[in-house]
Amino acid sequence: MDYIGIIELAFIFSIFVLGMIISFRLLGFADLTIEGSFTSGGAIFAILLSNGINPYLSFLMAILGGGIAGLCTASLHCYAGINKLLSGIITLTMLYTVNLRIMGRSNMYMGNTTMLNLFKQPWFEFSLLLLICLMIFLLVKLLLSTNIGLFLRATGENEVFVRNLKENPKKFIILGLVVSNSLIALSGCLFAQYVGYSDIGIGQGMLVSMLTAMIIGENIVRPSTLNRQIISAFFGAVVFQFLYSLALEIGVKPIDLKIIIGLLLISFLVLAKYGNRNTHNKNIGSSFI
Amino acid sequence: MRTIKNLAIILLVVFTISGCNHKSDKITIGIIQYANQSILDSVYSGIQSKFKEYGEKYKIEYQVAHGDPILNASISKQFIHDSVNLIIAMGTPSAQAVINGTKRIPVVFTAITDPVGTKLANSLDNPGGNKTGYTNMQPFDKEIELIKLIKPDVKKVGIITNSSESNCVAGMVYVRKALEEFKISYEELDASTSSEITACAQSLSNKCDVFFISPSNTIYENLGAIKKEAQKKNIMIVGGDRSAVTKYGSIGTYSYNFVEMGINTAELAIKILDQKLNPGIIPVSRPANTYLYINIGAAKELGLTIPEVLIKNAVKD
Repeated sequence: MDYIGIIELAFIFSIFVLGMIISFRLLGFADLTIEGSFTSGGAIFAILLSNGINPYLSFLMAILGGGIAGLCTASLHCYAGINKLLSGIITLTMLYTVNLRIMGRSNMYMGNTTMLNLFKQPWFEFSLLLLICLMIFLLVKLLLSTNIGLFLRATGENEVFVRNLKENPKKFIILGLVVSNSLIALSGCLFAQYVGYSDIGIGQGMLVSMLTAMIIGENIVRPSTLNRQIISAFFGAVVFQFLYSLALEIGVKPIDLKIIIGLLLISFLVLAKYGNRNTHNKNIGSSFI
Repeated sequence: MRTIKNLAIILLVVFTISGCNHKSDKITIGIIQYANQSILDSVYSGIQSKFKEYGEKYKIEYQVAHGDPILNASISKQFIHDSVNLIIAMGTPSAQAVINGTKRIPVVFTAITDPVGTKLANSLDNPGGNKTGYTNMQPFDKEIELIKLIKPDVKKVGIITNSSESNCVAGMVYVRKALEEFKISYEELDASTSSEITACAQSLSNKCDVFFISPSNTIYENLGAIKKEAQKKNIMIVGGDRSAVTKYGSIGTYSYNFVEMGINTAELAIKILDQKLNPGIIPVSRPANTYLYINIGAAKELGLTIPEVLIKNAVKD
């Protein structure tokens, strides 16, 4: 079994899960934009790279692109007064066209010149992903620990409370979605580089897969504090990716994979429910999922 | 804490199971297929039948990604990690993931519509690197010629395309070129999902007297809807794959035999392994034979006659 490969993909997906935790858990905003911004991350990177732009600059632009998608969803909700779920769906629908327009085609191969294989040694890819992952986790931790971060978390728990403190909750919803979608675009950009191509269908089904990863993570690391919540993203991604590879390794037909993931998810949820019946530690964040 | 303990036990069991793998000294071939789609399935059955002739000599590892990008990445990583002797990749995203992952293991891609446009090959004659294979770019010029031969007074050809499929975008370049060469006017409408196809077909049926089936999987899956609209207005359908002609009222098409293409692919793979060839200098080829399929019944319904020459050349079912 390719353990290095599993960990590498887990690094990439843990950033996705982290972005999802910010919107789904901390803000209580079921943001469906993420499947689109995942694709955008890869698409923007691929097109800029093929036009001869420096890979690091393209990387930053890809993150920015995700942020704009998040801004769009948040504005639709905060200023146009559209329902949370619906504003995500609207942006997701529009992103499909936007992503096709960005790439000018539906599939783009990047070849050899990505960030991940700047140096040909196999350790480079692993250490770069590790470094990016560590940096992102640290930055998110720092952001969420500041006053702004506290307000962001408070917005998800109780908007009235934030308003009583003479702060505008809209500001924090926007911030949260921009950060969350930037992280997901970053993850999409890394994934596209990792597999070597960007495709319009790359984000399809990611929402459910990563939601599974998030819930698995939360059941391994009970997210009773902010640190534990952040760390749970990584463990969720590792176990999720491990299960995927394991199923292939022991010869499970890929067609049966989803039901196995579903059954595992059920067993994790049941295990968590009855395993911790007597403890009263409340998890942080919104628990609508 | 208890969950962590439980998890530890699960992982321990799982690691033990996954540790019990036996490496054999057979030649291992990894086959990755992006999705279960009729063309790819036929190609696979061809590949399988060829390798069966060699009995136990080759060990086939066959995995389907079911259109899931994570699974696609995991399968290709797995093959590369297991150091299989050769990888056969079906479907563009699978081929791209494999080629991006290894510069060492020979890769034979197959049923790829546009290997150069998707940068799988530097050029058809000289793909470069560790890869070569088969393309299934249809003979569109011959299919467009069918329109002129069967319906010389054609007014306008309606085409439903899907710009989100790279195969379709690549194929349409050749279709437009052929239409312009034959001086036939045409109109395109884009449908990215199955639900949009009926609406597009209705809109086109008011302006066109011929439908051309573009090389898109979404369209192939919804030929029934197109046939229904065409019958209402007596519109001739041309092109598509073989099943479009036999089941969905297409009047005729040129096609490859994809089982034959699978056999060719397997032969190429065996040749590379046996003679230790460098795949990068083997040109990307098309299947040698094209087959003409004709639906005489559909022509009669529309009051058209098919020229004798075509009937003579067509494959008799």
